[in-house]
Amino acid sequence: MTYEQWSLVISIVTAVACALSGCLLLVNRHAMVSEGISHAVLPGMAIAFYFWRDYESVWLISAAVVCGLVLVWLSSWLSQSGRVQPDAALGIVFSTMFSAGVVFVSLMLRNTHFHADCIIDGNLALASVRQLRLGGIDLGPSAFYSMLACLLALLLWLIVPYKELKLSLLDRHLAERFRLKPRLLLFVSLTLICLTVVVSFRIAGSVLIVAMMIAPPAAAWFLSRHFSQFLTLAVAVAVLSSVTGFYASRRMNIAPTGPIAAASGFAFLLALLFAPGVGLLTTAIRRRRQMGDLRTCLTLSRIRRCEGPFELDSVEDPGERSSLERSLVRCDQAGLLSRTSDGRFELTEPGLVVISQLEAQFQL
Amino acid sequence: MTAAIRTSQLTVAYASKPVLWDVNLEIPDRTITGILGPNGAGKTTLFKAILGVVKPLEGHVTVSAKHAARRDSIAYVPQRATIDWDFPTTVFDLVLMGTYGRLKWFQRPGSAERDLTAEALERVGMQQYGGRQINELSGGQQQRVFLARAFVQQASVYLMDEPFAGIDVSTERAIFDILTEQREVGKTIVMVHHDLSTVPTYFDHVVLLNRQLVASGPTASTFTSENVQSAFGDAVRMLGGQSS
Amino acid sequence: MIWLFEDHTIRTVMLGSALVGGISGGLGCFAYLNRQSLVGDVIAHSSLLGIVVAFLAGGTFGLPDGLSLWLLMIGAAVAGLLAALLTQFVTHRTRLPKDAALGVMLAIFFGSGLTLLRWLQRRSPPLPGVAGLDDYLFGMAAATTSRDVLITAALGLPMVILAVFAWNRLKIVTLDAGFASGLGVRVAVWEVVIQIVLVVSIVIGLQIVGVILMIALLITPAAAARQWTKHMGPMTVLAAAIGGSCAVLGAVISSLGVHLPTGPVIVLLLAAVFLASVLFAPRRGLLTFGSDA
Repeated sequence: MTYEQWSLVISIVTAVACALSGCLLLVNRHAMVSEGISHAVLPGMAIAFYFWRDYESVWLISAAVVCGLVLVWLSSWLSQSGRVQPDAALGIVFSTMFSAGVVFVSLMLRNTHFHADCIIDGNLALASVRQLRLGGIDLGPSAFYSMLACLLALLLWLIVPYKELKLSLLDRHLAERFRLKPRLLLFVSLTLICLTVVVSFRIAGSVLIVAMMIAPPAAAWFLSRHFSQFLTLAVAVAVLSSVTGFYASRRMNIAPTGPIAAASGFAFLLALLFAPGVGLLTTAIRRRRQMGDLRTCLTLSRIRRCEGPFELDSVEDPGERSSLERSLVRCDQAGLLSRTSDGRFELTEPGLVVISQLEAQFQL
Repeated sequence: MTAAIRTSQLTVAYASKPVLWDVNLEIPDRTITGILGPNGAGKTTLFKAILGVVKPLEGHVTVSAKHAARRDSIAYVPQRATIDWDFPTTVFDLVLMGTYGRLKWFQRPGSAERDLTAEALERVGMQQYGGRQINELSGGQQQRVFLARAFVQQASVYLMDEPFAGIDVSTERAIFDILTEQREVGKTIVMVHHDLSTVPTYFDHVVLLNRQLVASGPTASTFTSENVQSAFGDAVRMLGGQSS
Repeated sequence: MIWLFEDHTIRTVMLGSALVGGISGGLGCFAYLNRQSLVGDVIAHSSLLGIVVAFLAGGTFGLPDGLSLWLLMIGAAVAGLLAALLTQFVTHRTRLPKDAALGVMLAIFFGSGLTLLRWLQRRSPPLPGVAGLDDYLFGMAAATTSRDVLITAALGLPMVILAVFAWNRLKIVTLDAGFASGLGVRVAVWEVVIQIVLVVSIVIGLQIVGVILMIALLITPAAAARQWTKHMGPMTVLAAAIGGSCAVLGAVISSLGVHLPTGPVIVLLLAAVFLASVLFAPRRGLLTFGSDA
């Protein structure tokens, strides 16, 4: 494969791994923890890099994963102490850890390629250079294999304890009663999420990891009914937006992470507007129709309540009378009402049918 | 008896779901009125409609001229859980906030407002707690403070959303006695209430609501088992007329 | 240390940092008490898109330097406000959790902001001033000019004045919106006002702290000050003092010799103050004798 093809494949694998771990966070209502983790791993990475000078060293990855876990533990401890609000605790801890990392990088690693830009954008180009060689055969960039290993670990974790994990995420107390060890499951999930962040960090940079983790599952949120469908759709959105973003970045001659993140953000916007049943545009149209139905139902039930035909002049409030009149005219045109000779209103047969249908629809 | 609040054909819908449907009711002046109904019956929405915070799809709410004199003459006492009790403020300060509606937006509360606050705290028996931070209060004390804040507002109608939720019986009695005093000096009290067993002793007037109005009137004639059953459905029958 | 005050550049840097730290730290109390800490983070990140778009617009129309800086600030504020309001809209209208809505705003606004920024930086010939845009990522207090101080003051002081005058309203809406509506306060309007105050206090800090770490200047002083007092007024004043002094100290440290980005240094100083407050503040401190009040 060419260099460009490898870069594309790496982008896709990264996006998919990020999206899957984002799913785990999103259903637990902890999406912004990803923002915290992606910042908090920096000091671990920087310090380990200073000693071992190797991105792929196990030490670097473990140090960074530990930093991610420390963030989660420290911020939840702070908020549980009752002294600080939960999301402020997260913000304070991650910004502090990240700052420590940046200061360390600027002091100790000034002349390496571990500089500020790399922290923000990641460096896909560099990641695709180093090749994995086994017995003299060139197997392609090693970054691909580390990312792939991470993705496989995630998939395995999602498939094997699927039902236990699902229950632990949705209802921890019930899972505890069933002795499914939700705390352990949560801990392993968090560790895997941290691992994903660390491995993608070099490719995607700290801030955009969040985007790649949250936007695809958020888009899938509108489109899916079950957990498995949610996971599949999130992956699909991730693949789609990474391909789109990647080619856009080639056209603009820049690093692909920004465009990939933006593409997944726009995928979310599309889902937000057009998702069947829940999209804003579809609900707006449905709501408009239902509001009309509600008014019709209200008008008809008022006429039904009257003994004998309904007289518009019996309504005193002028504003109410005019709005009622509009509704009456509409119902009359639709054949739900008929006018008596003296201008009063009566329900027709179809009117009676429609009102009982509507009452059933609105559960009245 | 004159009506303090009257709704006519009040219909409110959120996201095209009717929450209140064609509700016609009167809440008489100088009474303690209980609003009863299952969850999702539109009780809080009724309060919001009275306050003018939600716009009805149809119909309207009329507040009698006596109670509509000032824009803050209806006091809303929300559920205790809706506020952040770790907010940096003292009990005295929280009660003082009841005067904010009358103050211009750059005006600081003066000695008149402070006197009112001290008096209101005394009325609910919380005078010695004025300097406490609000997160140091028990549930019953929190409710007393909320009540004092409504007093300071000098409203003539109090809308109280489940004031007795999570409060021990003796505090509930004490708060109720304070409310009875308020009725005697001419206030109207409307309260969302859940404990059906205390309804006959507490309320002069009840409103049974389940999106539509089930019944409304003096407690003796309205709080009947048929009405309660048609408002709450089968759940009540299973509990033998008692609801938690 | 006397020489510090005699050097005009350093004096400007210190004045600018004090203003920004004080205003953002003080007004950050509203973000903290409204539980909008992470909203602040997203507003800060999102403002990058506004900055880049405004820069592009300024370059296209050939605005003079002085005007274009204003334009950058306004662009940042508009993008930040848009992200905040869009988050609110999505969480009100759909069942998406607020956290997720915030993450998505990061994707949309920061993703496209960074894309545009990198694209601009690759263009040849380079647009004049494009190199300076990078400073908005991590902040560069050393580059503060007296014009920046002026802009900070012009944007920030009206917000401070607004907060002082509308104190009652802001406080009651923050604490108990339900009760406030019963007082006849127009809650929806005041909630937007609080968002605007928030956005401005973020935007003015971008140059010194940068979009990535702005959340710390907004939240940490408030969280630290919260430990020392039980009143909101003193809390705000204390938060302003903490924010201001840490910002000045951080700016000075980063301007001296070693070329450290300002933002992270300020954040570390703030974190130290926060830690001390959480551990040792009377009554609330975790290590203070007789705690658990």
